[in-house]
Amino acid sequence: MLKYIVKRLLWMIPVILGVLCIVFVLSEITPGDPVDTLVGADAPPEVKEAMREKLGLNDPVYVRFANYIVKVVTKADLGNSYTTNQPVAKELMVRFPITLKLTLWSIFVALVISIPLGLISAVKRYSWIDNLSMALALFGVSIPQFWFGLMTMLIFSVKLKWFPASGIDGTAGWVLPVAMIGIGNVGNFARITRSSMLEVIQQDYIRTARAKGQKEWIVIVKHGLRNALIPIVANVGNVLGISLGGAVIAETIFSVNGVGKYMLDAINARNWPSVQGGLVLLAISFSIIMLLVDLLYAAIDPRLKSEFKAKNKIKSRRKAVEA
Amino acid sequence: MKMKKILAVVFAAAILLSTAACGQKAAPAPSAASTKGTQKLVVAHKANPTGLFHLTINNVSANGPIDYLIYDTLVAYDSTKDSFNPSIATKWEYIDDTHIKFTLRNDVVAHDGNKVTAKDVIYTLKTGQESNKVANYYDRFNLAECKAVDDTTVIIATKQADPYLFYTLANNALGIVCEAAVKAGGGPDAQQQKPTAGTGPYKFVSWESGSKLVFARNDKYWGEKPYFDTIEVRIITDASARVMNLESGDVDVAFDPVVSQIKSLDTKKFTVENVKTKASNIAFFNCTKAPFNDVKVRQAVALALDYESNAQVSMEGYGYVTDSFIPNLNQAYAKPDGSYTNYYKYNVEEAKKLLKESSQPNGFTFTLKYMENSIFTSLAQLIQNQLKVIGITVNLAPTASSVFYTDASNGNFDMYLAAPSNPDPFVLVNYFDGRISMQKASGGTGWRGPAELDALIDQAKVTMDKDARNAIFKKIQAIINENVPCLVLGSQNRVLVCKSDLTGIRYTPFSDIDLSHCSRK
Amino acid sequence: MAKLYTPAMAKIDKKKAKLKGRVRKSSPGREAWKRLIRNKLAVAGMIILVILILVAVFANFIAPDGIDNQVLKNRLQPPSAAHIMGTDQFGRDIFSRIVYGTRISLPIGFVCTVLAFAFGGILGSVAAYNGGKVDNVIMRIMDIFQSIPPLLMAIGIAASLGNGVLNLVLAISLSTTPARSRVIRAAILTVKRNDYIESARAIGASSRRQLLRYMLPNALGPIMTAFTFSVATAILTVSSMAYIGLGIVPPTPEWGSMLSSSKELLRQAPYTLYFPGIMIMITVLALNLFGDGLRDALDPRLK
Repeated sequence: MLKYIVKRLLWMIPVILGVLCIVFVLSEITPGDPVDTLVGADAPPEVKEAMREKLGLNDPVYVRFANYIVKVVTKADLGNSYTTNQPVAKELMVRFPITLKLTLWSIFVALVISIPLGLISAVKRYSWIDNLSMALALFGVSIPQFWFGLMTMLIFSVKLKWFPASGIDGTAGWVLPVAMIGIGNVGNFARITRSSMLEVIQQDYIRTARAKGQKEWIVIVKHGLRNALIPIVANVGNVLGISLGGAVIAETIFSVNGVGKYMLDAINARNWPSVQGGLVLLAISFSIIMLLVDLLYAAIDPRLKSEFKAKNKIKSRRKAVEA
Repeated sequence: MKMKKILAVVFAAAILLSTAACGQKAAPAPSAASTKGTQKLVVAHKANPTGLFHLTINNVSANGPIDYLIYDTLVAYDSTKDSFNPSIATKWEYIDDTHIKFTLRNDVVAHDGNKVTAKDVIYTLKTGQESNKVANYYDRFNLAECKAVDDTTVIIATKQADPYLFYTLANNALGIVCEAAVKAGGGPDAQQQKPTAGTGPYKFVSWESGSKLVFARNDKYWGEKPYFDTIEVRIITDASARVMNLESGDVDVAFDPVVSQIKSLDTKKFTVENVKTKASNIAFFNCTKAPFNDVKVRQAVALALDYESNAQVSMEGYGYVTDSFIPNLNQAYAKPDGSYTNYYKYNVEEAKKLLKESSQPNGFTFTLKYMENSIFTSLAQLIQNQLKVIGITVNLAPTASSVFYTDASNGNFDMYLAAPSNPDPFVLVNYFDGRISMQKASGGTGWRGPAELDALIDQAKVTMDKDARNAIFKKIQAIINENVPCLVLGSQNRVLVCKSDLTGIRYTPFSDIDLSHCSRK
Repeated sequence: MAKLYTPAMAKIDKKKAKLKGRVRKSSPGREAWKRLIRNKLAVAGMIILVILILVAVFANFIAPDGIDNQVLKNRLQPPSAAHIMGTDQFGRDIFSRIVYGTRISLPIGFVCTVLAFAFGGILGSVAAYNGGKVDNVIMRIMDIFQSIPPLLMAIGIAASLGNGVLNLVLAISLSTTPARSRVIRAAILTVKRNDYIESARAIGASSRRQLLRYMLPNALGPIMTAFTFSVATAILTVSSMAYIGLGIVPPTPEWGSMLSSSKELLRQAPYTLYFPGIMIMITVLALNLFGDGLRDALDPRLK
């Protein structure tokens, strides 16, 4: 088990290198000069040239890549942002917890709403209640995000004044952004719950439980839902990974100072150190989340657990033979 | 239920962790409405500043409204009279065309308590010129001849006669800093994050990058006691969201609202502050290549546009129509008096006729580049539609700012839209000066005017007498307007919306907003 | 309780088939189709999609006006008999633009998905078919790409390619390719383990033939479902990109960019926002409903 975790953590090194490769290739082919946004477009050419030299932009891309890697490895330095001249790592560390909190809450809220919806749907399959709850769930998936955000702001901040339109200082400030990100996930989770529940209901152990004469809801929740949750766990991990950088629009509309907005601004300003640092951070967190999901998966699914053990046994046996 | 418990525990732990990480700020938000006694102003600004020390900063022009809170300039601009009032300097006189003697107040102290003297003015100019980042503001000074005569007298020298120098002096890029305070505060780099060297009415308190800045009253301010105890500047990038924040009561002032959104505001609660500016929206032709190297084509395009409607649609009444490349309210403007043909008027028949006579009788296709904002997006679509009538196809190319400027100065465009905000007419003239246009002026048309124009420009640049200079400008405008190297698309007002009880909002020479002397009625 | 396909219902179905004059052997495809049309929501989704496609085909007969017919004196008129969805900030008829928009928004979503599945399909099927090292290398590279959130990836690619429909399509399809390659790989792996492939191999079918003739068609069920969902996602991504200012250039009446360019009229003329938003919602909803139905119908475990 420990070996497996170490292996997965080591795998993050090539992932990070790969992500950096992608960013450097993109930065190479993207038109636009960060220097123009740095010193102002109307600065004299010699000023721009000096700036370019200072930032090392005149070096070929592989030299910049190598320099970057060396700096990251030897000094743990992600470089300074072109726009603010502040360490990228410091800027990211302010924003990352905010995005993490936003994402976790929105997933949590989405789960709380979607699991009952999916459950009812599955149990009352093809009934009007199934149709209604699925239509409701899908409604959330189908709304263009920024439209939903602006509309909720108009209704709940401007008209009703229930929640602030910007700022996440208080609890109330989180409500609208969380809702905006969460609503898309409700549909996804509800559908997964429904289909995995449908599958589970037909399994033998459910029939056995029913035959034993247990109450229907106990059968559904205790035996059914418990097993049906496994695919949801996988999906939650995936959504978490995606949303960490994908909350761009919610963060922009509700002025949440998160990683997504930071990355968007950085891409627009061709602020490559920030893009590099941000994507490395996102890739690392994505890898860790995926690892956690897999571990959780193994922990909760008895079938996988045994398979995992069996595999290890075979491997160790093989090694023993080879030795 | 074991597995469900595991799930719940993992989730709860994750949420708790992240809550703890930003838990320090979890206290309930103080509302914009002030409690009794203390006054707080909340401002919605569109961009995170790149830094708070304007002398060594990247892109100083984006930070105007914030810089004016922290820093004072030598002179203050009066936008209604287009004149200059005393600020740190109480009076000034020209020694000759390139030397001005300023007398300073003796009671100016920086936020950290250090006294500000004439030496600090010299330090400011020197630091600005050496940093090279605000070169277009500081390059004009002849540092060798600038000197502090005594603590309250300073002589500022420019490289050549500079009739519009005061517009620059009143700009946020020229805010005076205290040398001792900069050194005590850790030098320019530390000042970017924690400025202490300013002398302005509000002191820096905190900055959550990308989210908000907080300022507090400077009790040692030399002028009238600043009204607000605190000023909070929130960064809200979405323009619609800024206005909705105002309506919901979260903020008191919203900068750069979308003009079409203003009309639905409740006029009892909110005021729309809008001032006419001395800069205009301009479409630059690339005169170095076909089709726009042909003056008849340019004239035809100019005649095909419905200037009145375009100004109305793009600016919703918050702007005015212009008929010269120097906007009508600029002091250098000369009304077209019939001594030359003015092409900035709507006449489709004439446009069609001219195009027939030109090198492109059957129309052509070109690309229009612009940076996306609501006004340019409107203007671009209007131009596209109106040129369709005379047989010209326009492809629109909204372009990211980082690409836009590079393309503009390298001549990589057919036509582009821009709104140069500098009221100094020479900045505009540079775009049409064939000797420096494009590369050196960072944009422009590449149009090469007659030799007579070059001479006129050189002469105007050193003419200190206003009337004599304006007479030259009149000739310059006649030549440039007749050759139509650009389209003039109206001057857009500087607009902000605020709660009705707010008063004392000032505008800077570059039509930026200065809230440093604002108060409640 | 789950409704099961009872013998009585099978009888009715047979009777229906008899009425048509012939009794066919029930093939898996027909079974799936039957299940699909019994699902009311899926049928509703299908009908909406058919209507939208018809609107796209006959747009020039339906739309009363052109896509870029600016009448500045008719600016921002609320819905009326003359303009049933009102007019926008340039006095253009919103209804006409919405109608023509079906020719843009639907194909863009479709093409993005086709491309993503084509790229992903090549990678995924090669990986799945060859297995071993090839599989490992391809999937690890996909891992790397997938550790960048797809929206950010799309924004990055779009920024480097510049504006325009083609670039937008490329950006969206490239950013979703890794996920699609996984879908295809998984589908083929499932099929690969089945017996009929073994038998194909036993009778000596060439590897290309095995892949094209046996594996892909059998993997088609889950792929079709995933395809439907990703068209929906692509349409939403286009609108998100429009909000950020990347992608479709005016005056193209793409719904996402119509929505994004009227966001500033939210207070003054909210109807300019309602209609494009509702159209996107309806289309995405229809695709999702249809996709859900398709998945249920094709999933043998849910019979």
